[in-house]
Amino acid sequence: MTRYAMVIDLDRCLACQACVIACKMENNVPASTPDSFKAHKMTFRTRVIPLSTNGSYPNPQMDIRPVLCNQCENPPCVAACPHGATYKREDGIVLIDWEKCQGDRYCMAVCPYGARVFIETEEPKEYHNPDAVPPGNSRFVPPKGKVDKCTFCAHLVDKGEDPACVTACPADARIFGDLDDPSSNVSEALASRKGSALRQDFGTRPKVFYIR
Amino acid sequence: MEQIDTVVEEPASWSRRLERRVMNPLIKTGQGYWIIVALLALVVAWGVYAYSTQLRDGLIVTGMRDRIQWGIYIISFVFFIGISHAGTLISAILRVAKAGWRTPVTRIAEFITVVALSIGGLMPIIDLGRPDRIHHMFIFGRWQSPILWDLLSITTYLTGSIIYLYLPLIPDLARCRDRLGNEAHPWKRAFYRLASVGWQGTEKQHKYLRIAMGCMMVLIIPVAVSVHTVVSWIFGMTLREPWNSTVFGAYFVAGAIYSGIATIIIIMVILRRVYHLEEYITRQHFINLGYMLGAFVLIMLYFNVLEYVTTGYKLAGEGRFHFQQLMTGPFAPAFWFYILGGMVVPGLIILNPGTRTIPGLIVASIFVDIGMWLERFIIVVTGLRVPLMPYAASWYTPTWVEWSVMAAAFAGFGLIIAVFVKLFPVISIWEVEEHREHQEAVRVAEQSLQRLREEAAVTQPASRTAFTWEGRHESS
Repeated sequence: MTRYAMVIDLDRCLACQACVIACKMENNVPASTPDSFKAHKMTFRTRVIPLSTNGSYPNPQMDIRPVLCNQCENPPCVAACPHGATYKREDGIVLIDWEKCQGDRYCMAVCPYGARVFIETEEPKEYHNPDAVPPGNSRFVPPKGKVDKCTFCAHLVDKGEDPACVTACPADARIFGDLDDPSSNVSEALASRKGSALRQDFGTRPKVFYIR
Repeated sequence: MEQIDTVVEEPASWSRRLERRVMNPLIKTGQGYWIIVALLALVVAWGVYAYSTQLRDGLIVTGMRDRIQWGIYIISFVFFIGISHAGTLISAILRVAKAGWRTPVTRIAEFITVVALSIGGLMPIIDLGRPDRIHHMFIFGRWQSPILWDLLSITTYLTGSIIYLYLPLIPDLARCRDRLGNEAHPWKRAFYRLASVGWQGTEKQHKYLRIAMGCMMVLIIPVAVSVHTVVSWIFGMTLREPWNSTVFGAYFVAGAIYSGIATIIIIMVILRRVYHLEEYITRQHFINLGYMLGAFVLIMLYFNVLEYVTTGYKLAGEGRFHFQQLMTGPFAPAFWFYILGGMVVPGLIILNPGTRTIPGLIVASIFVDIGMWLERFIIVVTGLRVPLMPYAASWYTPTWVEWSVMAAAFAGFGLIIAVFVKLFPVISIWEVEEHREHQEAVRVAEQSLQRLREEAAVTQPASRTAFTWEGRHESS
């Protein structure tokens, strides 16, 4: 069995936001504009957020954390969806079927990570990266009234490639691979260093790990 | 308890008067009625326009965003489903308990249930991003999701309440069919003929009606309780701290009945005034409803103590954030209005005999309904606002679209009731008659008992045996 997971090396992450941009380019995530910011819209599938700030000059510290959908092994969103629009693939990736989603946003209420965003309105059909859009595939046009989230770039993973954020990371801080394969780079990274995940107390068994 | 005047009057003439009083609105319509209906329809039309902008531009026209993704629509949903509970409580529980004073109240209460459920059930559909896909709930429905439990319980409850409303209506519809004659519009006559399903008032028909009503009034109570429990589970089944409470189901049910009784009082006052039903819906009816409201003030206060003392004492985890945002934070005005205006003030109004009057109860009921709407606002919005991750807490500002749709929902509620009072008798004529006959019988029995006692006193002055009207002998 394959169980895709991501390990994020916090010692390496420099919060350059390259992953955020790459994700937007790859997946045609709606643009973050001053307007969308003012309207409190989260136009991200992955973000880099400050967890805490400590200390003062000359030794200030900021604990930053790239966050994305945790692709939980026990995903509350999949359980909550009234009609199976959100589902978990064999390889553990949690996806949304946009042909089914009716936009009741219950999955957003149950996701403790706030990893899901809602596409309230039709975006101009202008692709950030036209190459990423398979011809005739409407899945990559952001549709109106549906929930969006990180897919681990399932379309790239299916082709044997890494997710866009992993490829774009200049510091190799994001590591992607199969958790069930002991020789994969995620298993090795987790074996050599102490890993943790966000809000494990909820029992969702997230598959995005942080090492430092 | 004294409900119906005790002036000795021939049952036949009393019945005729009741009939005329209740049936008159069905055939005569004043100008004021059309003005009110036009106003309500205007508000509904405005709401439909607001909703059309939402359909065109998407949910961006609302204030709901990624962090607080539910707002006025879901609040109204919970509120209207809540109101729908009083109908069942008053009518079914009082019927089961054989409380005689309920008879003029039940029809209005049951109708509020059906209307509120229909309006409430519409709200989540309005809330959808893609309402054109509502049928996916039926095609791809999964029982693991609390939303589907809701769908099941609300449709069951709606079906049950429609049946429960309809059954006691049959004899009255038959009476409309027989008595209104040419006074009523031809299509109305056809409607009464069709809807009264051949009711002739035979012994057999009465027997079956009684059996059917008996089954429904017992069945509808657990269904009603389950509905609001399941509505609370929509929230309670998530990982959000403020919703993570085992008393949530009972808290919702109590709140539902509480706001429902208040709404019944308001609607009853209006109908009584407009249709001059003072003889049948007396001050005592309002006082009795007021006592029920007062009991629920205490129950609601108790639930709030349960909820907030446990959170406030521990102040653990997200509970601290939640407690602070309620008590002193941005929700403090709403929260304290809910506690003081929604419970303490109505409680005091009911407690004080000087204000325990119909105007006092109207004020109390309006306070209760506003307070309970705010309670739902607090539950939905604060629950989503508490960040479970180190995000900054978001904020929710409803837009004109949401306010308009909510106004339309309330106007639609009024509009359907306005249509109802023109189609159906607002008071259950045959039940009120029966209750009156029963009271008459009791009165006659008491009179003859009194006579018997007097005779006994004359013939047997030393006797220590007393008679009761039930014919049993009791030693005094």
